[in-house]
Amino acid sequence: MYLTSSSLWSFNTRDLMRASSCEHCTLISVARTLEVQSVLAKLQPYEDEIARAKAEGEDQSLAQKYGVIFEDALIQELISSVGKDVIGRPEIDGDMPQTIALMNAGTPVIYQGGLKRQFERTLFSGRPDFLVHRDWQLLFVDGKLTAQKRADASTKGSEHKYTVWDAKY
Amino acid sequence: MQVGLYVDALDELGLKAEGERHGLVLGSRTTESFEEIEIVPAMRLARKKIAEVIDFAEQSKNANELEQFQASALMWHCPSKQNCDICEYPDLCKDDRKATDDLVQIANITQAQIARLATVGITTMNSLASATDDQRPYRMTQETFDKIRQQASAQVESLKTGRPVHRLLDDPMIQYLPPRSRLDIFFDFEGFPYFVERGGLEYLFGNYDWGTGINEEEPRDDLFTEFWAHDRVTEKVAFAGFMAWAMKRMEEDPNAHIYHYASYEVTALKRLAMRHGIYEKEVAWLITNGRLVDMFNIVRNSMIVGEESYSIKKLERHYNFQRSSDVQKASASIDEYDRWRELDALGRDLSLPEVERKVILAEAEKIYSELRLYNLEDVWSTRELYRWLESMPGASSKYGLPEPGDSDEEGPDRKPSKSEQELAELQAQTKELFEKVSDWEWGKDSEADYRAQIWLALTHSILFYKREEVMFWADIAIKVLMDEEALEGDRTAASISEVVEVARETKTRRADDSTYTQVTYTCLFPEDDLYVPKEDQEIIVRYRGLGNRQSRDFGKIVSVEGSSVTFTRAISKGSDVYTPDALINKTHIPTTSKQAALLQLANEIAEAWKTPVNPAPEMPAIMDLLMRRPPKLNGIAELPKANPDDFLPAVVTAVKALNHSVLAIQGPPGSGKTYLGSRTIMELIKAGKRVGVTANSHSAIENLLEACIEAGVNPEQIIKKQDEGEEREWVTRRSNGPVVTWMKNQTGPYVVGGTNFFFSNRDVREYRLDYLFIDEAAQYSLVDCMAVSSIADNLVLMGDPQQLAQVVTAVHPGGVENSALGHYMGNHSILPADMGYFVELTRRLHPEVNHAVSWLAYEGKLRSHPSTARYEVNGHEQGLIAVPVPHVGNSTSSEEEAETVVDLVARLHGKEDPSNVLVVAAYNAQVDLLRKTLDESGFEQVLVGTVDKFQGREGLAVIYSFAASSSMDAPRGLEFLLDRNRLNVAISRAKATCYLVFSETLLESRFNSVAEVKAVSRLAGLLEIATK
Repeated sequence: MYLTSSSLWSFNTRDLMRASSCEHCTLISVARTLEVQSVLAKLQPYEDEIARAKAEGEDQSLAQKYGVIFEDALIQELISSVGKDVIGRPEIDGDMPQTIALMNAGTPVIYQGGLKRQFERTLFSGRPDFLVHRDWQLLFVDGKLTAQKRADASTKGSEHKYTVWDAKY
Repeated sequence: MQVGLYVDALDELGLKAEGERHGLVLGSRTTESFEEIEIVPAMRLARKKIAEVIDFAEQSKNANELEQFQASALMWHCPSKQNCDICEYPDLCKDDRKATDDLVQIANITQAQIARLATVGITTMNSLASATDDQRPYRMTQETFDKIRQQASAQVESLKTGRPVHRLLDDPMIQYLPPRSRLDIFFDFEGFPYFVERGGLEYLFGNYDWGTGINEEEPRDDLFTEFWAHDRVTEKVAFAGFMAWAMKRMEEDPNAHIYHYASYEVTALKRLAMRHGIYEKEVAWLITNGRLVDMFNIVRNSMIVGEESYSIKKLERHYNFQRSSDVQKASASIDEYDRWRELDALGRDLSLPEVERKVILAEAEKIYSELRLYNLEDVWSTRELYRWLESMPGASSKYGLPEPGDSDEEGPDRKPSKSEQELAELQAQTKELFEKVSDWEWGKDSEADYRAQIWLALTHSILFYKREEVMFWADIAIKVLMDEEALEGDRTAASISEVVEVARETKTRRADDSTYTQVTYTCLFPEDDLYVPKEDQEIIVRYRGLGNRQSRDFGKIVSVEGSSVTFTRAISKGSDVYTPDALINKTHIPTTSKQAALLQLANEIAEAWKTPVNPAPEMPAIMDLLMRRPPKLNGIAELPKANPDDFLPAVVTAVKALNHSVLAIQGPPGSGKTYLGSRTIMELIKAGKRVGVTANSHSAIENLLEACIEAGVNPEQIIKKQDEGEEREWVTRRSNGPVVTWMKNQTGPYVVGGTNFFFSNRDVREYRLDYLFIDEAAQYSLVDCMAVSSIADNLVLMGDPQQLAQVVTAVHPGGVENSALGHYMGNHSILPADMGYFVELTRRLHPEVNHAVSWLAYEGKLRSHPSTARYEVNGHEQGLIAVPVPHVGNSTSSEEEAETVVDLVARLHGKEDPSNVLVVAAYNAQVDLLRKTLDESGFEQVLVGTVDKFQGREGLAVIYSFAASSSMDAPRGLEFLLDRNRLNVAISRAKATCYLVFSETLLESRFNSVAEVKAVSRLAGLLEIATK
């Protein structure tokens, strides 16, 4: 967790997991961000250890490392099976206004988009792996990811609305 | 969780697709989808917690109360060790626990025990190690206190001296360690719990053996036998390979055993046998003959070890075992295996440049060798542990000596049991049917695949009852060996205490006139156990013989009064010198008639169908159910559309039009399912039809028969077998024969009621009915339904899969463990309109209660009849009301919640009219505690029961008590406690108001799985709807 320039508390999904199971973890994280001196002093040796691991390249978890490979593979499969008309990507990865523009234009599948959500004084920002237009669906054909227009697409109205799909291996 | 955040963000932007499913694209190259309501409430709750902590911390800072904030709020370690792997600073916790000498470091201590010790001021390991008996907390037995105190003392000594400490118990179990034998096996599984299909994947079956018996300094490949699997198909091959290899060794060497550490191997072998439908008899034989030996059980019953845990890795320093593999922990092995899967798949991806693939595959190869070495060292270590144990004083000294309690039936050369033989015969008979799909090319044509699946289900259904029977005895053998903790979480077994002999007599066996001694005992039964014994229930009486070894006798429950239970025990060869320490339910019902009916049906269908390459036969009616086809109708093209305020006319028309087919009626709570069923039966009687009525329980059948009489059916036209003394309005007979004679003599229409045993009876099946109504069809097993189906031309299923399902035994091959209605509805939570009727109108639930119920279980489609608006309890607010009660360390009963429930009952009624309140609890222990507490406060008339007991009942107000303090305290986890069906049934008993009495820490979860996110979301979502 960190404080943004506009004094919002930015958090990620791991912070969310900690908050839901371990109050102690969240308190320490908040106190560290608020620079409570005794907390910083207590954490120093552990921070040093984390910095050392990072320097030696031990910090990236397998999930992160291979999750990226998996996502790339999925995107390549999509591009080669449906072509570029069906999928969209903001010019700047993770850019929210561009992502919204793609959705308003009715792009069937959007990847590398960005979404933010402020709640009270917290801010979540992230990149949903796939935003899928409600007339479309993701599915695997012969073990490869593709997108198809849904059979009942015409019944759903003309507004552009989306569902969220995240890659997880 | 992440998906929930994005969905919420889309919602704010007005770009969310309402009513659509979101989901995950999985590494297994499948997708998993969920409704928004199944994930978003849990996310919102966690986000709110972050906001609350921030507010709290900032307020403290602004008020310059930082010092105080630190002192009061900031602990340097978590109270539990469960969250270390997601923590930013796990070592901080570990160091601080050590520095503060925290109790959580004691092996096998529970949060509840820590909480109880805290009440007497014991908060450190040292203070517990030196505690005196008079410091024992109230609500902790002397035995438990002794045990954890000894454990603390051994750990304290080990920490002080830096040396491994172990202390042999009196009469240790190692005296009975089987002596080493030439073909012994030391066995360990590696599993991958994140495998996409239900139940995980066992990917490596590793084995070590004696070789020359010389202690090797290095792991030896030639002593290591390995079987690998990377998907379901190869898992079956690996399992078969392992079993064939192991059985050969066991047969060649009658003194050989398979040694493993902890109970996982046994349960996993059993699961594999059931999952793949092979080697069931052999696995059962290994288990019931004691050929599988759990070394953890031996260690635990032989010594106290001064370690934080009794994992084999912690024991290794005691026998100087050094590992060389990089993969040091089981969790790391799972990560590494996951990584190997990914790399291996990438390495085979031909779209990548060859150079890159080579590098990737080389990396994969390296990981594979590491995983192999890790398992090899595990099984090698298991063997070294054996060597250490066999070198101890007295080890194996009493193995095989004749002793009290030994029975003749279980020598090492025990023959296969009758049920094992019968299963073998059935397997031979079904061989031909399996061969029709043995080389099926899956994945080419989804419709053909579906036919093949149903073909398989049909074939597996033939083996269903026998498989259950064979595994039943293996299960008993496993339960006999369970430790106290495992017994606590078991639904059919429990430890007992204060066992006193009260009577003794000599009995004669009917079979051969031989005599035996029957002893009657009284005992105290744990009030917070999941197993509730009932009068006349047959039981297994477990006792611990010499060396703490568990063994068993047969017995029966005589009476149950509160927590005092009286039972008998048939003594085998002087086993009465040992006091019983646990009771295990022995529910096993013979299924001969059902088996015969099913075999006949399956063979007839297979004969007509020939092979699943052909389209499935149109008849009999059960084929529509199996194939999930819409009903076939005479004279009308499709099901008539129902009037939303009165379903009866449409249902009657549809049922009358059925043409050797099936009609399903999904009836949510209060939708008048019994009314619909009975009025439809009346119309059929008017039309001259013969109708059968079945359900799992006699009470459900009789309930529908009574409604038939109300609907105008002449009681003289209704018959059911009843026991003596059970007088009913309808015609009754004492046994099947006279019922059949009565049916034979009827010339006109009639209704006959009976369970699945009745309708599968050979004589009864001589008669054909026009219709069979299956009530509570979501609890009626698919296989039972098949067994009874041939009695009638048409089947009518009534029930609701959103309410309590049958108690599932084990996952069977072919998915045949499902219920009849559950199978028919597939993945739909609401019955599709072309398959039957979803009765969307409830006359029970006030709109405010219905709001919650409809949200929870019926996609918002259930409506309240306008007449429900008048329901209220003495002017109290209607709807769902949240009553959080803080408590810690409770698992299946909570005094705190019980007191709150009594207050609520008092507020609702005073003491005058308690009849409109139902008090419902998730666990039996809480029911007992609530009963006691309510009685003490003068509310004897208020009904208390479990969710299961109250299915079908209603009250103006319902108070639901969850009892468990947190997800970690809840036996069988949140998925049981917050199960959607269970919550649905509990809340939908209430016509006007439902109080949820719960601990807020229940909502703290790790969200390790989608199922857990869904469980928390359910409660969180209900709390969003509820008023506080």
